[in-house]
Amino acid sequence: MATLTVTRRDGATHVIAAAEGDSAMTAIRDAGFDELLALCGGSCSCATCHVIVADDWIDRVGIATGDESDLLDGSASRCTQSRLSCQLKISSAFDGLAVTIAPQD
Amino acid sequence: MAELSTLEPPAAAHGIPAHVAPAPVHDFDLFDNPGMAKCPFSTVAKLHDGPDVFWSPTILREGQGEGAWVVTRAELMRHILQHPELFSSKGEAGFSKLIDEDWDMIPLEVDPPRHTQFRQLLNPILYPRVVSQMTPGVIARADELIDPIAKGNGCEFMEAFGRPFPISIFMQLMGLPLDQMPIFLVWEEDLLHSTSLVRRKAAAKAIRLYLETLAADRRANPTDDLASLVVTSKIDGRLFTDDEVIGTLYLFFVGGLDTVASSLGWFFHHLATHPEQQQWLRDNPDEIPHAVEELLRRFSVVTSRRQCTQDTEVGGVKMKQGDWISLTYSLASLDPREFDNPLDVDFTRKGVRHFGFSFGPHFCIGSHLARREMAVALRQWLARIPQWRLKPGAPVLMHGGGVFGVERLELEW
Repeated sequence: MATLTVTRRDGATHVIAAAEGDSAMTAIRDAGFDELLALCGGSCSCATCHVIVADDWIDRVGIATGDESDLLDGSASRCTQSRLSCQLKISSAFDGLAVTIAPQD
Repeated sequence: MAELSTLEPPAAAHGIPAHVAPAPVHDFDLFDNPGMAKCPFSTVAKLHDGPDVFWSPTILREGQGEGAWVVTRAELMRHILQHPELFSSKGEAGFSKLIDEDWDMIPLEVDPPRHTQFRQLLNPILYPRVVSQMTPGVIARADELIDPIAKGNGCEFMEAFGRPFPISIFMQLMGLPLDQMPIFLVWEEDLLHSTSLVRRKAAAKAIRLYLETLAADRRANPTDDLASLVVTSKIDGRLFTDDEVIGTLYLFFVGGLDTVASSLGWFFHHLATHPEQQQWLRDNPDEIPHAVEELLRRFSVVTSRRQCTQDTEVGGVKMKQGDWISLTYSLASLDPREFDNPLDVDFTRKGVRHFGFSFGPHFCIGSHLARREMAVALRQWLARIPQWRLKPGAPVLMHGGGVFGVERLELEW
């Protein structure tokens, strides 16, 4: 079990539990944060699980590449720390990872 | 719903497979159903008063088997769509069977892991970046269609805009001359809406022949359009086979035309009958993209299906290998367990996790383009046409089927 710090669109920050092997998207949705739509359910197709990774975490997590990066192109709030949370697999190395749910496009 | 709970005498007497009992049985047909002409969405929403899963002996047609399971809840549909190893999409649409051939529509009728290979190759065709590049052309097509409409004070929406708009965008994507559009309109109408099997087969064949000719031409003279990309793509280090080329082009043809046209019909009908919401969108055009999501939820037009690859259980109901499951996406998008007042359109609704583009690995590959087309259509109409309403005395014709649609929508302003 790892923890994930999630900042919601209203600015409130929550620390949630995330099972290793799950995606950050699954952990955020299971915590009841419906504003992260994840319309496609984690298939890296819809780009509705966009999060912005905290400055001090992005080097460890890595920036988006390939399909993920191309999908993020569609978001007005795309930045270098943008990731699709369905593509962030939780592991002990990510314990304490901090992300902000990106604004609605 | 009392009639859903039991059916006597024993099911087998009605041609219902023996394993279906003790599950609920209920006649529910997407096509031959009087409620569909009144409103398909409110008709299917009534199923939420009944069981989460039931067997309908009448849901499939034209040699596609007799009867299928109907699943009415979003949670169960997510389970089915997220587990293609249990619920296969092979033969889901069945257009090749219609013309006595046997190819899969790609990537829709292919299961992972093969599906993933095709999907990764085809995803770039409709990436958000590509859609952004296409947008000026999408706006130009919308404006060209609106030009003559704006000179009058009313129109039949589907003929004037709803059907030609997505077809013209498809032709732009495929690099086809716009003067061929009338032929495409006829083929599409015949294939997807004709009640005559002969006409449907003829259209299916004509489209196949056209796409075959197109593929041959692009093999000889590749350009930068979708068809050229398909004929030059490689899988396992080889070019696509003829069947794979046809299957892919066919999917792009049927996938992006009727769905967008039908959705626009419902959206424009809704705004015609809800002037306060139409005015709100006029006053808040920046909210159009979010409004499109809510409209996609309220009017999720597609019904898909999956076939069980093994004996399994869905929502406590035992299903057998080979059983088909009908997935009417509006049932999930209108599930009251997911959304408060699901039949209300609420542009301020949060967390609109709809099924308008399906769910899971087969999530609509064209979703980014579809959304853009819908938003552009609304934006250009709201900017150029005054408050529209239904023309008095002109009945609105609606239909059920595999894609819920509006056949005729007379508007005036």
